[in-house]
Amino acid sequence: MPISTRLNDGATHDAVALAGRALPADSMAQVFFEERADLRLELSGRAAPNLAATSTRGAAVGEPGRTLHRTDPSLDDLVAMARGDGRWPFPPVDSEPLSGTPASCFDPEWTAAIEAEVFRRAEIELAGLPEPRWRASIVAFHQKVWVAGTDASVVSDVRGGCRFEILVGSESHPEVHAAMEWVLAGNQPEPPAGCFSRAWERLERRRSARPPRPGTTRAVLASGVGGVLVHELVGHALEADVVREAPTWIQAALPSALRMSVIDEPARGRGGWRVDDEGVATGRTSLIEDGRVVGLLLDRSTARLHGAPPNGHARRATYLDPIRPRMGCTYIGHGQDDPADIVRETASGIFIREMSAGHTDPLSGRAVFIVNDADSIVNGAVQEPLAPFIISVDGVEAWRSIDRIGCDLAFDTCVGSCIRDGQPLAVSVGAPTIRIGVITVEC
Amino acid sequence: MLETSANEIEALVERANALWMRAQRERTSRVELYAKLADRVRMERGPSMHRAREAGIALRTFTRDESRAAFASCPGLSNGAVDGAFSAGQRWVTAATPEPALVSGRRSDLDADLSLPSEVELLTWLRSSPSIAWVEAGTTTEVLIGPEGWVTARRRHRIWAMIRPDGDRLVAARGAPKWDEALQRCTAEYDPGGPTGASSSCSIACQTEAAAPIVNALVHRFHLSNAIGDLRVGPGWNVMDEPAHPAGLVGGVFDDAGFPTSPLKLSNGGALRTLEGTEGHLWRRSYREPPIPTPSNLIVGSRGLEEPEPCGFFARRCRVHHLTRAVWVLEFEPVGGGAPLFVRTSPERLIRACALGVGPARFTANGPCVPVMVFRGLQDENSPSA
Repeated sequence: MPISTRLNDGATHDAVALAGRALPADSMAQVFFEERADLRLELSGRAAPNLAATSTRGAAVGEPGRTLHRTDPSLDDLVAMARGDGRWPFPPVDSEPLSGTPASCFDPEWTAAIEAEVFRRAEIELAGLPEPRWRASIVAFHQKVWVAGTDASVVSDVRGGCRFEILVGSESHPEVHAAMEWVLAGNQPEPPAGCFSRAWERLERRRSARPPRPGTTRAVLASGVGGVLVHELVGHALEADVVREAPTWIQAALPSALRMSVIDEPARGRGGWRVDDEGVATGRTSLIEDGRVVGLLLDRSTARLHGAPPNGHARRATYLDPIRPRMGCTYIGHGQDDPADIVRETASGIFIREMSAGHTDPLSGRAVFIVNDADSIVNGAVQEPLAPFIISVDGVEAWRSIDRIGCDLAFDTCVGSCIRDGQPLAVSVGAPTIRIGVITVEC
Repeated sequence: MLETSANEIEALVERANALWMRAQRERTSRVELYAKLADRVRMERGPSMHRAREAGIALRTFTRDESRAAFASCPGLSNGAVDGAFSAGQRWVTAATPEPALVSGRRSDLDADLSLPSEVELLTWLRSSPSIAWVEAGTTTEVLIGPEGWVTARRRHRIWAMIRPDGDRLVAARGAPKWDEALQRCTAEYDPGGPTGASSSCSIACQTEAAAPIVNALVHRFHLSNAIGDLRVGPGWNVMDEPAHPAGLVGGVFDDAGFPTSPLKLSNGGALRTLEGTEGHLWRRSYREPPIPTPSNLIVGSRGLEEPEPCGFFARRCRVHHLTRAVWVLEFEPVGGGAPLFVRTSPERLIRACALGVGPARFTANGPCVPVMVFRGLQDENSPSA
């Protein structure tokens, strides 16, 4: 990621370790420190570019039951927090930040380059088209965290992600538009080639689209899309703190008819992490195997209550927030079916290309989704484009009715953030093509 | 215990002044400095206590011709924060700032002295209210130093609680003069009254928590842009933005750019106003954001204490799904439970369907202060013949 890393890693590491030594011995107490830079660049064919770059830095210190959170503490502040001192003396005006330098920020040369590239592509790809209008946004973050326990050992992790979204429409039909999103990867991320052309094609295809008729129907979810479904229905129902409050629908549900698997693997995500915010290494957490629940998403606190080792899912949106067990990259494992066969063997239904979460109740398994791009399926063939619509899904019913799983696992075809208890987190999802027997088109 | 006393405010004013002077020395242009200090304490079931202090500054550096300003922010309240803000990426924002003659000296808008609740108090509240999942009390102090050196200081105490089960329900209140009274006020069971029976009418009546997100969505769509045009609104769309409302969760007697505030009728007998370019309505979402035109305390007018006529559907909550700019789907949850009602509409039709406000208005955690609101004709659009 193109970051001006002005972090004094050694000094921060040493300060966090020193504070760790001041934690009460034989406790679960920890020192968490983070530096974070965020960037949002908004571009359009009609207005001046708008760049918003912010940075933050702070600490959360204590045990799961009692935590102190503070912006930009000095070394003395951090040690005092580790000793449990919740008084906040006004800091001296010349107090030194922990790392001794200003917070990190994005490299202005990279933002200028990506801005120029977006304009260049828009000009080329939309040239000659009737009255095109477009907007693009690039949202990126870079975060570094340090975590120390009572033994003063320090683990650190670097995370980052970049998302690119475009919206294309035309002056003559201002109320119709096509929006597309991509996850940008690599050290010097660039907008994908052909992005504006693809969005325009989608816009053209949808000009005459009408919403589907309300009622229950079958749905084929294109590769990647099913990840949104399992994130909402399965993942949230297996967050250990949620499960502890009350049994969730999936714990009571019968195994699915298919030998499907659901996995959460944070390191694969677009804002992936290798070590969580409690310093626990993450891996591949199996949530469902052969259609049965086999795992939970755990932080240290819930792991202790469940008598299991933590599995690296403890996250907080910022140093100001409490830890929660969270998903990173949730996906359905590979199946055996040819995706083309799945559509061919569907007499009627809808083919969903892109959807996003509305809301979910992890206890009952009821969820609502916004379908942004879909087509009808008639006699085993994809037919008319459908205007955006709302579907509701009953977890138990839908779970039992998944009857086909493709062999085309794909990630990040639907890009979104997960907000839980007011805490947003960049997450990824993945899935092969799947078919569900029962969903309800609401309107 | 955290004290946010007069001394703490003076300390923040003094610090903001010192940082503003440092910023002035760094730049030949005129500079405005905004400093924020937020203390809060939250108790969750478990129990788990979180005590937090957030601090940061933001700078607006005005161009010589005062046509625009460069904005940057940085966490912390030390000299390093000013240096950090100047070295961070800056963006161009509005240069709106009051004329010096309008705002000389120092102005204050302070909630009374109040200490954050202790852990024992927080625990006692949780134990006495099994439906509360967490409770949070906080004090926010903000200081703005204008380009000519004038000073504004604002302090707000607020309390928040998450009510469960039966879905998440966030409630909030201004916290003066006592935290426990404020908590009681915001968590008290609220029966706003409403239709006494169902009818075959196509009207939908919304309790305050169902109406608030609709009001927010419509105000953001029509009153924050110049998209009003020849828009027609229903007779119930009577909305005022009242920044200095004494019970408002946000706002104050001056805005986040230092302009004095005054109530603004956004809709009055069909005549619509926009907040765009309106001085006294510039607010910051956080210290990391510049002041932009934003509603503060939206107050929806009510016809009085009468009950609305029996309606087709009485909603306790509503979610507004934005399918496209032209198509919204409203998902209404019925009072008393049962299947939700989905209504596909457009923002233009929705504002036209706003028929009346009935009964007492109440502040919601979403922001607006709303009565029961009745929408007529929405379901007609979803009938097969429509």
